[in-house]
Amino acid sequence: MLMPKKVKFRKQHRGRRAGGTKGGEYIAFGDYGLQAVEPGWVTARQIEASRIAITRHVKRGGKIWIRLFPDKPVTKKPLETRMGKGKGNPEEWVAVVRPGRVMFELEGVEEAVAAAAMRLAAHKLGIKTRFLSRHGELK
Amino acid sequence: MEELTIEVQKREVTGDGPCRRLRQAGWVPGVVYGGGRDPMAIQIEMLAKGGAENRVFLLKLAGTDKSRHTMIRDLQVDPVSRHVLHVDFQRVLMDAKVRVKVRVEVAGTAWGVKNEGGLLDFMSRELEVECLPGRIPEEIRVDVSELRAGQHVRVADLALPEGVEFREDPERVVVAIAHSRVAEAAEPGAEGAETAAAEPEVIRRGKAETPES
Repeated sequence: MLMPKKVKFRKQHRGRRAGGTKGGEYIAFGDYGLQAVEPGWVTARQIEASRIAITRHVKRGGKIWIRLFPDKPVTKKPLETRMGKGKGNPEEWVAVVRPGRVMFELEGVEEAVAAAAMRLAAHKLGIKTRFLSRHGELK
Repeated sequence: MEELTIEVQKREVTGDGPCRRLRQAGWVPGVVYGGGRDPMAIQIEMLAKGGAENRVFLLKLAGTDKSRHTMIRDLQVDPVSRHVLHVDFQRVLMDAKVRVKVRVEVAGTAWGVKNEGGLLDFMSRELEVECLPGRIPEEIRVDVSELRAGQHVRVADLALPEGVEFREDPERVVVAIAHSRVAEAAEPGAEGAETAAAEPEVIRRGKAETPES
């Protein structure tokens, strides 16, 4: 799964997810993309599950770009622990996604195959998405 | 590419709030600049995004007989709603050459993709050309039907219409046929390794023994 190699601090504040994406809002590499239309956290597990879903659907052929990286640690307290005694331990890594971010891109397959692959990938994510093709057409 | 005529109005208001109100009223705020003249704030009727690239627009200022040839230099589009938020027009002279990026279009299915299981790698989707504003090609077509796996098309291999020149490195690769990857078999192993992934290294500042919490 994706995670940073080095970090400056082990734990982070949760932060805010207001506003739109700051960059990464257009298809830059492939022919088709999966764009977030609402804000959210996408975990490293979800990214990996989506990647596998896309790869398996397009079988051989096709090139994938993952345009988000889970660089934010999320902590959790152990079960049956009383409140207090400090912040919990880092449990997972998430990517902060804001509306407009193109998260996955695909090239080298038919549009119908790409749309089906992106649909499978979208089911693995916890946010609303939509399918895009390079010429700006929404599908 | 054919020329389009658009009637524009001079925009008296500037800033976030007034421009937001203009958009709500169905206008798109914009600006015209370049050509050795002062910039002018304008507003135009709702603009459809598609097909505006590299097109020459004849802007007519409403209420006057002034008109100017321009091209779209920048277009701000809301990534979610897809509405055009702002448009930059640059004045052009019809007898002076301009440098623009033209879309590359792939024609045909490569032999290497059909018969060898290769993958079409589209490396340069736009190429910069220099020509008169009236002669900008709509697209540069690249015929890939003869390409086999491992072969590629460079800028130098492409032909352009008369009066149009490339402003790119002739050795730049436009399209290549890559050999198909057979890396899928390694995938389950990579998944199994996920649990072994420990925490990343923390970059410590100052003395290493300083505790951090």
